[in-house]
Amino acid sequence: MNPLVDIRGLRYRYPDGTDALRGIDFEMKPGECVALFGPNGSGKTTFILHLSGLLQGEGSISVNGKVGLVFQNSDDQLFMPTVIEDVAFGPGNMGLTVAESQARALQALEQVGMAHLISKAPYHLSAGEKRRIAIAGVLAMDPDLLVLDEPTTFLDPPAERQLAKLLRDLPQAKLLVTHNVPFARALASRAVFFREGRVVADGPVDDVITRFDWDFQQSGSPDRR
Amino acid sequence: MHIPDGFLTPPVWLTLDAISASAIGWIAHRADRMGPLESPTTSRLPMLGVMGAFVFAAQMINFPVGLGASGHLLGGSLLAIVLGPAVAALVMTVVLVLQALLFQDGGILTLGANVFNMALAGVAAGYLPTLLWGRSTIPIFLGGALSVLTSGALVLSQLNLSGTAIAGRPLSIALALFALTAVLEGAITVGAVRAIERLSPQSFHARSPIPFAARAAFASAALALAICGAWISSTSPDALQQFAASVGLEAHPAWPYAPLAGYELGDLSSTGLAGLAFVFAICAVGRKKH
Amino acid sequence: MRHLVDQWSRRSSPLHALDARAKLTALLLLLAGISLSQPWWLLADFAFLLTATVVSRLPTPALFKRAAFVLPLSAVIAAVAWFSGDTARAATLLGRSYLSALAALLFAATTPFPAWTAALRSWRIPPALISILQFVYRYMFVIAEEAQTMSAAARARGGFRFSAAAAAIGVLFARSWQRAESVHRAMIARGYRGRFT
Repeated sequence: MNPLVDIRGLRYRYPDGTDALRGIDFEMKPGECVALFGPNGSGKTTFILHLSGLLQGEGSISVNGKVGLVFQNSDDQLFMPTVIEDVAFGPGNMGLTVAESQARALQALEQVGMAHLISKAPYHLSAGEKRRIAIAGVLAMDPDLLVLDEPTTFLDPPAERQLAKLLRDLPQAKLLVTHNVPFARALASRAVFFREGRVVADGPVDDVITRFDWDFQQSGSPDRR
Repeated sequence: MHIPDGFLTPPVWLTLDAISASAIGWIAHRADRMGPLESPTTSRLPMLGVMGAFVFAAQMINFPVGLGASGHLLGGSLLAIVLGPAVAALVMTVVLVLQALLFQDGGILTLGANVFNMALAGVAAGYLPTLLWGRSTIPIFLGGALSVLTSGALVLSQLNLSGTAIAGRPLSIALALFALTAVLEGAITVGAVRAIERLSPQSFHARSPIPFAARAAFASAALALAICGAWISSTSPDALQQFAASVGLEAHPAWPYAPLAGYELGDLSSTGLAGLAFVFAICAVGRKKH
Repeated sequence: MRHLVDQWSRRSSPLHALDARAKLTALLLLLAGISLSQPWWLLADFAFLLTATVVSRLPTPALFKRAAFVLPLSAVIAAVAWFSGDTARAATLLGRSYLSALAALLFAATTPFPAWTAALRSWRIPPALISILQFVYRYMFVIAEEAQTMSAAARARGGFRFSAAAAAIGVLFARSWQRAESVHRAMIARGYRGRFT
């Protein structure tokens, strides 16, 4: 089977001189769910911007399908006056007519369980609702890969659980950039660890977590009660 | 400084509505060709919108001015210095529209006047000093102060033209208030520009250098007009009104409105400043063509 | 931050249901009328607005109180006219400005934001301006909340000194700038190519 994502030797330097990515090798298969861990500043966000084509670096990037990016801050992503207009924004840019875009939008909203909020202004919604609507906005474009940047930020535990269930039911491949270890454990089959712009580990989720001591509650850790 | 509905006569507000609509319409249509904001990571429309939201929010930050009083930023000159005059004009216009509709700050029919005073003339006045002399403290301060004074002078002239003569003691008080506001705006603008230079230096728009001769010419013209206005306003207003009466100009019309209601020679001081503003506006427009 | 006018505009009433363009036209005509009216006509204008308020099912005292926001400034200018000896003029100035404010407020309070921007768009106001309007509206409450948080944090530590307030504006600007870049990235990620349809 052709890989969905095949990246070799990706390098990127920001205009101010920072070497954000120093040779990333990364692969994903269709339908796979991968977690992306790493300290802040290790290049995770820069990397996903390359995946969705917002940045161009050196090296070879091959993505066989559409990438939908869900940003960490839903407020920055829901920029239209009403929910339905926002979710229809993507399809509209793909060349669909207004009616077709709205139909797609409605479908996506139903998929995430937010169809009852179509005329609402994004400002009045809760973090969990905004998150799901942002996902709908991306789903409406029919992506093959969903990339989510810190999707559980600001979510309370029930909302987290709802999000996990939603993501589990989606057939698309998923890349989860997250610090939320239990969340990643629940959804991902594989984890990748970034450090200083390089991939330093790539394997089963629990192995990576243990190897880098990436869980707040660690057996043997003095913080654990 | 926002003029509410009911204070301007139709000839005044209609004219200003027409001027402002044309000016802003022209700038908006040229929005596609606004060079400085074209880059892979920024784009005009969300930038302008978010900056407009910033203006609203920034006006909520209170600056202590002693004696328990506080003032706040108005924003026209800050936006002009950071983002450029065309962008500033568009953003301020939108801010004014929303202030009128959502906060009842300024009238609807008088939007043209308020846009002219604050989004066009005020922005131009706020921009010119740094355009001519760079982004050092004094030009920034001057920009802030002049934008307030220009808007204020225009408000006074428009009220005068509409038959609400403000002269004598009330005029002095108004001018004193404008002066205080101007100084405050200048100081806040300096502080804010410096803070932005430290935190977000990439936000400043690109400026092309202008030749010294042009700078000198503009500066002299502006200075001349300012001196004129100051000299005339220092002349006793009573003497001017007597002169007006002797020439047969009515001060207070009988009807609520009449075509030439209230145009007095005592208005010349405001006219001087208004003329100054007009020169600034032309300078700013001239700049944009490069 | 819940905005009162915004909330009012989402209610329903016969007035809310009217087409935004019709209401906007009526508003402009009414404002022109108020500006031109002989003083005794202002009473008729007031009666009309009172009726409209009742039809809108909005809380009348609150509405009238909010329209009074315009009064302090008007009072100052009217006072100038009063002391110049023109008392009739002072009264009509106050009346005109209050009624105009009430009319504009009624319009804003019965017409949701998307409706009147759609009306403006259909009147061929430049799309760039409408888009900027939409973005300002979308983010002004968000950024205002940030400003309020900063002010509250400052108050908790003794209030803003001048330099601290200027720094706060700088921070607010930097965050707003970054937010604008984020929004733009999100737009490009969903296919935006530089033009709003």
